[in-house]
Amino acid sequence: MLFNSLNYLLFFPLVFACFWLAPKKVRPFLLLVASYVFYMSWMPIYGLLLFFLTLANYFVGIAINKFQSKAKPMLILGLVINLGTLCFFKYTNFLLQSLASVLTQAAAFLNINGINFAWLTTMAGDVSRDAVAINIILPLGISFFAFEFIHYIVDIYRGDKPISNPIHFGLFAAFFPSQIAGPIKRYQDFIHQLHQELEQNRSFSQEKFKAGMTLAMQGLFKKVALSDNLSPLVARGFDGVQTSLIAGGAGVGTLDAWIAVFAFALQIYFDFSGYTDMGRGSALMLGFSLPDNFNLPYIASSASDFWKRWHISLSSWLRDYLYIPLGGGRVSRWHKHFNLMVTMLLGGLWHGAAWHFVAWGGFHGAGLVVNHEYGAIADKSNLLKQFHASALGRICSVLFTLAFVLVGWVLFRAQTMSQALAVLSLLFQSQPSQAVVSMLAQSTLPYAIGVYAIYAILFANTSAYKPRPVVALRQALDVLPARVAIWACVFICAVGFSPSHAEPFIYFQF
Amino acid sequence: MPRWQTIAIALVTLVLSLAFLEFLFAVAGIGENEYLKIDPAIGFSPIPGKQVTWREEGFCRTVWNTQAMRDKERTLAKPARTYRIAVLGDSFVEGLQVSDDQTFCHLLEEKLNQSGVAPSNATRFEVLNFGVANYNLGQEYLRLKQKALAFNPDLVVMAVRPDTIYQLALNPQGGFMYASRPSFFAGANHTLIEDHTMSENWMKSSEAKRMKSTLWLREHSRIWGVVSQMARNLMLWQKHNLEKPKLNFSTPAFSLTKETDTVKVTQAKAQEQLAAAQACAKSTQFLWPIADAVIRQADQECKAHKVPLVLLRLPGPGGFRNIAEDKLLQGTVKTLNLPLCDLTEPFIAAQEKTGQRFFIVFHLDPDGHKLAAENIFQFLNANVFPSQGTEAHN
Repeated sequence: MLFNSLNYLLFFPLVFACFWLAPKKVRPFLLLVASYVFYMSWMPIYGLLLFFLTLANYFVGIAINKFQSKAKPMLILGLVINLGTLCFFKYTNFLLQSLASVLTQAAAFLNINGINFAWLTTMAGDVSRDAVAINIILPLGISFFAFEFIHYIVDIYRGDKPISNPIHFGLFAAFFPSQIAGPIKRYQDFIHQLHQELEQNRSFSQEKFKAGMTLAMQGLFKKVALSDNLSPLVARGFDGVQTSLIAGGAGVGTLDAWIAVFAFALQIYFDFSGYTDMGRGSALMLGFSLPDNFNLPYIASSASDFWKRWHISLSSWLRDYLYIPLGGGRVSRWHKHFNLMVTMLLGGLWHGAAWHFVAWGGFHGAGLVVNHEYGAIADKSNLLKQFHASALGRICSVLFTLAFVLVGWVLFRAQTMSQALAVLSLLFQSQPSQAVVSMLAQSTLPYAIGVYAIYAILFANTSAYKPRPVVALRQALDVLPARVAIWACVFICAVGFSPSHAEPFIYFQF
Repeated sequence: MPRWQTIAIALVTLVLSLAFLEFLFAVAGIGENEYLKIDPAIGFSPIPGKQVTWREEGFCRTVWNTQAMRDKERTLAKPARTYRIAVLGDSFVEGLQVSDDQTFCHLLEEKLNQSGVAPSNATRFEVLNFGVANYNLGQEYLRLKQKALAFNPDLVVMAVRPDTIYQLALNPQGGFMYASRPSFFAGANHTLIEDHTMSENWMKSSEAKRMKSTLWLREHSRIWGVVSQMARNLMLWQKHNLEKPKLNFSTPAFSLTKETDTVKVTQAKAQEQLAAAQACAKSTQFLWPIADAVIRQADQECKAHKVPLVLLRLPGPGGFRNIAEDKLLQGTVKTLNLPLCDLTEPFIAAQEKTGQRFFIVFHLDPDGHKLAAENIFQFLNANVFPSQGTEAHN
């Protein structure tokens, strides 16, 4: 079920009403049932996958805690279950196709030397027709809940207490606001909130409802009015380059390519942060706080700052469960760089089973290494220190980081490495542009961005711009009836700006 | 805060927000898709003066003129020494997928005026666009009677597209644009029977009542346009979800073969296409007497007004071709001795020559309109104008 679908528009109010009307002891069970309904509305059979993974991790957690002497094998068993499931569903075809490609090339190479290695080609199959691929449908959210399970069993192994109540554990695993695309929760925080809910006689909070609904509306607008309208621009730009690569001729021009690249940077931000806002907003209306995933990422002043602002729950997971176990920063300089590269390459691969995602991870890994090296040099130079402390230095850092991130997004969005390189080279040519430029001129995007800016200034918590009239207006609009009027208008506005064909959330494919 | 103050703030917020939204939507061109109103005689017709921003397939920002035509303002009385061509048709003629100056009607007028040759004593041309989306052939005939002939045209061009024939059949389930229009039947001796029973029945429905009572909002409010779009989406959602089984555990999560790769799928697709073509030919045979009667009636109407009628065969959506109908149309044209400007072959030839599609998805793209205008221009100069006494006017 999508947050921006009519199904959810009916589902959530029903869950919301039942949740707050039900006796508090029943609430976790009710949310668990709702979460499974939410998940199974897409492909019911995968509800069983989620159920069995939950069951397995629940018992592994208990076992690690109970049998301290066998904790390590238990942990390994848990990791094998989670990573094995993730790898089967996500990486089988990638591995098969990569293997087939290598075998085909090997066979071709060996034939040159006059030896017939036809059996290799037979083994590899016909790569061009995807004959080696198995038709696997990726279960929604598997990358997210697999990482939550790993965090859970690793933390138990490190000494934390497991969740004894299976309903609570099931709810942690399946909680619908964060089920499909995160944020990746930490169980300690979630269970603490759940216990608070049960132990304290917590009743419906109007403040939380207002904050939650404001966030959810912001997310809806980001998704349907901004991200979905950016999508055709991005597709036109990148597909145009692809068409030019295959058929030749000028598909898109330089300005088209620039617009497409910037549009993708905005699309992926609005899409993912929109989803997160809707999830966090829904959770908040039910009384739960989910971790934030974004903090104005495009004003980051370095690659490492970017990862503190972009997909925060993933980057902190990678730090805690991959980078630090590898040795983190407390090792030799080159070992630390190696750790960073491994972490980012795997982070790239987590996003999707394709080489361009690995390249994107590697690119960011290299960026972080350079960033650390440069930081060490800058620390020793007073001139560089002064420059970075100045306004000009800060602006340069932000612009340089943005350029770096944009190049990374090209690798991320392109379907193949050749397409990515073609887009990047087009950015620095002077081909006449029309395709994407004319689409932008006909689009409602500039108006939607204007509306979003007004809404964000008035209501977003991250908004740093708070002059006195804005604060006064915020206070005046804080009464519930006024908020209801604004939410209604934002809803109409989001629907009005939404294109006729809705796009799926980008991060659903991960 | 006192209760009255809370209510006052809420009301002021609501009014200001709605005013802001109306303004924003007007500037951005949002909520302007509803440009048709109920017309008891013809089913539906465009709202005069309605501004439309169209973003499906292509893009245009246009204003329907005060005579409810997708055209610039035209006087009812024909200006002196002007040769008027009235073009009737559906969305292909209306051309909301392209801008005003890219429709083939506009391009044809431009081309004719540049050519310096005009029939009779005319010195300039006017090509009037009477196209309305979703009109069937019968509605085209009604629009000819109701609207086009009042403009005193010198020539009537009536579009007959390969898929419009199916729309002559009754379709009371399709909502406003299907159930509101009159039904047409073929009587004895190729007479046309126009029946309003179904449409009159629909006019009593809650949908019709709602449309009538909200006409002012439909004409003036863009927020209303968005809200009614939401309502339509909700209805579609209901339909989709009621038809779809809720919990289906039989969906395979993964299998070892790709269905799309199998020979069986290709064979099944070919069989499907063959069955569709056969069904298409059968229903065309069944419905053609109605189309034939409409064309005969239109011809008689034009003759009564001493205006020649030309039939225009535009290509089908996305290039769809109904060969059975092509043959039947040829028969009617031959019997009635009517000129037929058939664009099917020129489009196929141009597609083969240039590799261009000339369609966005279903409708013509700007190059498709250009190609249509070019071919109609040549056809008129070769087959219509010479019989009307063509002379150079420059």
